[in-house]
Amino acid sequence: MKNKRNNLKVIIKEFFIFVLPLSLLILFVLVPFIWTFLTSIKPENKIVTLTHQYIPSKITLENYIFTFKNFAFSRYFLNSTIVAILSSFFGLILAATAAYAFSRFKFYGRTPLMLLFLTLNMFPAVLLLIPLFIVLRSVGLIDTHFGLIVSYTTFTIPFSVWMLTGYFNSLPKELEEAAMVDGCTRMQAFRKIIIPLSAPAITAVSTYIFIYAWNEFTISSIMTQSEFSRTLPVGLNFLIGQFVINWGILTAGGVLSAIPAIVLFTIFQKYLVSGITAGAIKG
Amino acid sequence: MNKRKNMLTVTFVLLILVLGATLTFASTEITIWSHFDAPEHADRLNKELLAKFNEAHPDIHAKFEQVPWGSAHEKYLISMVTGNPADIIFYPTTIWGREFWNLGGLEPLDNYVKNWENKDKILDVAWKYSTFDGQIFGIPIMTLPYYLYYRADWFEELGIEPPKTREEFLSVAKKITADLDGDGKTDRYGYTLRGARGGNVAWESFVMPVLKKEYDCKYVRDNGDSTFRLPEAREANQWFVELFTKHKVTQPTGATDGFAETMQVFQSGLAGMLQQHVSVSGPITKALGSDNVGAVLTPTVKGNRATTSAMHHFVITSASKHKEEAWEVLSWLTSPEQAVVFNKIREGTPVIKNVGEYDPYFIEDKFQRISVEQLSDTFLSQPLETLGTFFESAWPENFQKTLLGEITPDEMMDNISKALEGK
Amino acid sequence: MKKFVTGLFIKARLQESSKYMREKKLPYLLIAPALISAGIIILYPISKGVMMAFQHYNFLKPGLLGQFNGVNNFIKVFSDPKFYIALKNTLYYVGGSVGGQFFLGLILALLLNRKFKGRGLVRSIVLIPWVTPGVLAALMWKWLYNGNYGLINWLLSDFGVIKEYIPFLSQTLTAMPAVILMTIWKGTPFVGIMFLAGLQAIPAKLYEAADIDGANWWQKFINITIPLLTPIIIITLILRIIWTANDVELLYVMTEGGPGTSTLTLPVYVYKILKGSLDYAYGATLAMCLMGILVVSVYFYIRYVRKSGVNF
Repeated sequence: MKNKRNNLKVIIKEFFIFVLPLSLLILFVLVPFIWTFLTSIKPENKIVTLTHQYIPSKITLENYIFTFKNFAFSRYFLNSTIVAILSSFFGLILAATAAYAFSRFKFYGRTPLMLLFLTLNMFPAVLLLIPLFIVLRSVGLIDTHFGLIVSYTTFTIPFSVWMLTGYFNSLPKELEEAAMVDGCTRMQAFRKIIIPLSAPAITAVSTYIFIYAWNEFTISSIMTQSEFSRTLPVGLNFLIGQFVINWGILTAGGVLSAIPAIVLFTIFQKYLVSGITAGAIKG
Repeated sequence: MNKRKNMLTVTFVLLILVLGATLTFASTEITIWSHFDAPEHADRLNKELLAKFNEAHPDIHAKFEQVPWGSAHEKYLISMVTGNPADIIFYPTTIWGREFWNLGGLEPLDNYVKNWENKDKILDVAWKYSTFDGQIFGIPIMTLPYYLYYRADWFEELGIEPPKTREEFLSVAKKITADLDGDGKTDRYGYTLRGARGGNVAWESFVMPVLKKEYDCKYVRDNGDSTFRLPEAREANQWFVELFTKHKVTQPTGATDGFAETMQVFQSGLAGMLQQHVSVSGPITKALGSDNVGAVLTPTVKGNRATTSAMHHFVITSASKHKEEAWEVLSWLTSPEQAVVFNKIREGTPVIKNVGEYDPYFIEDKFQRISVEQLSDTFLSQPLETLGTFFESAWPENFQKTLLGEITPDEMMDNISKALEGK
Repeated sequence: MKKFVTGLFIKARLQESSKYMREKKLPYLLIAPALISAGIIILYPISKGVMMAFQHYNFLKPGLLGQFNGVNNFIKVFSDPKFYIALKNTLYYVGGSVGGQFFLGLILALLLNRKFKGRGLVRSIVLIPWVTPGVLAALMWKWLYNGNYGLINWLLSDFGVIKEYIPFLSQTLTAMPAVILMTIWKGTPFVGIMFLAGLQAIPAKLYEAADIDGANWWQKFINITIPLLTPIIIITLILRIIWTANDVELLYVMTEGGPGTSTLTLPVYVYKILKGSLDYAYGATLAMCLMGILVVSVYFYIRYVRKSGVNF
């Protein structure tokens, strides 16, 4: 009898301190997206209606079809993919080398430089635009994938460097020293030992940079001039004209744009968390 | 062995010559930057319009390039600053005209226009607003004057006529505003108010008429004071504000409703009247049915009528390396025969005299007809340096505060005047 | 023989010293790529921006472009009532938004720290707001808040909570809280994941030891969880404050700083100045003021944190 009462108490307790809050949070996270998705499958004339219609009575895929057909969607998708993947790759190299230096060496200027890297994002992007544009133009990087890649790798330095420094700190220095006694150079030890061991942190950083590059709008809208390099967020903005907003198409395009990032996350979230975890140990 | 070598050399040289020849005679590329409301417009304009030009002019290849509306302004500005804009740009002069000219980004077209055969085919009201500092900065091509859309079916059901004066406008709005199902909540309103950025266009149509005769719809007089300080302007503003605050004939979200929201309000049957231009007649008739929507000229205020013309121009950038060819393209595009095609695709109104002769569509379509008629009572915003601040910040912020009762209409006019005067 | 040994000895020392030299130079070489790209992409443009604050830089007056203007821009800023309004709004916005992200993020992290079936899936779902493009997020929420057709108003009125719809984004009182809620939605996943990672780094043994000592959950939370989470809390807070304080996209799309100036934060003010008056010098001055506040805040925060013994 007492056991049954205790079990019930436990279940109720579990419900209130775990199930309920978690469900509410999940709902909070999902509702905007669900509503957007429902909007994207409604026919245009049913989107703005005075009668409360939650579930669409008529479903249409016309918005998605239109998006694929008219929108150079595949080109923007390709551009975003190229830029995001390469930004992750180069961003990783930039951050890993700097982080290794911060982690393994005490050198003059170490602390100020660390702080500098941390606070690179303090200046509002909107004012960076014109000088940045002029700089990139003078080296011919406007409307190129590389111009975007260079910009994105730089803007993600704060998070990437911090994350990798923390992770490297958690790996004992003895590892490289043992290798160097065996005849490796420092850099060989870095490449062959430290990097492989840092897989979780590397995954975390790559995913972060990828998401950043995938979603970035302000810089891309100025740096890309044509379909050649234009990325998805900028392309989406085409659907907001001076006088018309295609809600259905906009939400369809938005849903399609968000899917790759979501899929990527689903696959890598385990590593993302464990990567940050390990980085947090000695952060 | 030698013979073969000679053959190869000759072929090689010939190839080089041919290649060089094609490169030399390759057509000049002329790019036109433009924003579009429908993604397919760029395509249609290139295929249905410019294709004809390109065929007739094999040495020039012109094409429209779409620029997203949200970043068009920055893009044009930055490109002129850094010196690599497209050859031709299409944009709404109301908002950005002065800046590009001041920057030296636009090529004066006086010499080209002097002996142009189409010069006299363009309306005077359009030429009036095509100069800065006495020089022609661009060729007007399209205009979007505001007029009044109304729910013809509701008007019929209530037995009322579309309003001609602002007094009639208010009385009609009151009749439409109603709680139809008796649940204590107003179900429909008379007028769609737009209080967000861009709403100053509709507002000006109720204020500028009193500044038309004496001040030619200018914001700032010659002595440096803003016309909005004048008592007649204050009265007109107060009248308009009271639509929201006192008579409550507008939708409650009006203070922050922008273009998209006001379109939604009218299209969903929340309000019975909307001030807009001909570009949106398509979506509106699609949503409500052509028989249920009518159009009429903007109401008069104290016997005068004035609304913005939202003129759009083609300009040649001063940095263009092919100005002669650009002029060929531009003058062709703005000739009456092509202008009507352009405007039909883009759903604007041409600035051609006797436009009906070139395409009867513009007098047969009930919305284009009103748009053309409205043109003669339009003005273009005075190209002040402070216009951008007025449009972007001063008007929306102060109008919203007035609607919400945080400042008085008089304070609003004072603040706006200060911003326009540049103090 | 002696010569040979000496030679070897010298050779070894040289090798060692050159290795030493190489090691000494190595960190700088390693930092170089990141530093160079930061210099070109960020520092150089920022320096241009900082210079602009002391110049004339108004595209409507191109004749004066680039000419020295002393501190006139700063005087203008400090006598501009809108600057103080924007400053107040920025503090309100950052405080409310980061505070909310912090609070919800901690709850999220605690919930996700438990082992349960489907945890991986839930973690991925919960990250969706982070991967949603900013403009899309702002538009989605604007649509939710819509005073005529928004889902929130529909639900509230269908459940009988309200009779008249609430125009959330059209009223001074509700506009900023509404926007803050949206940014909390957007930013909580990142904070949550960071905190979760931090939680997972805390050894279970500590909790077990506390259990033996008879500590309740609150004591465990205060004495174990929070202290060990502190480094991550600090870094996350810094990153989020910087990011939130500089946001333009989300705010401008949702309200454009309205109604009136009730959601006009400093970055949005800068953006509107650039768009409207094209006075880039004034915009740069405002931005510098914001940056100055951020730099000073972060500096003092880190100093305080260091003083209280946290290894950071």
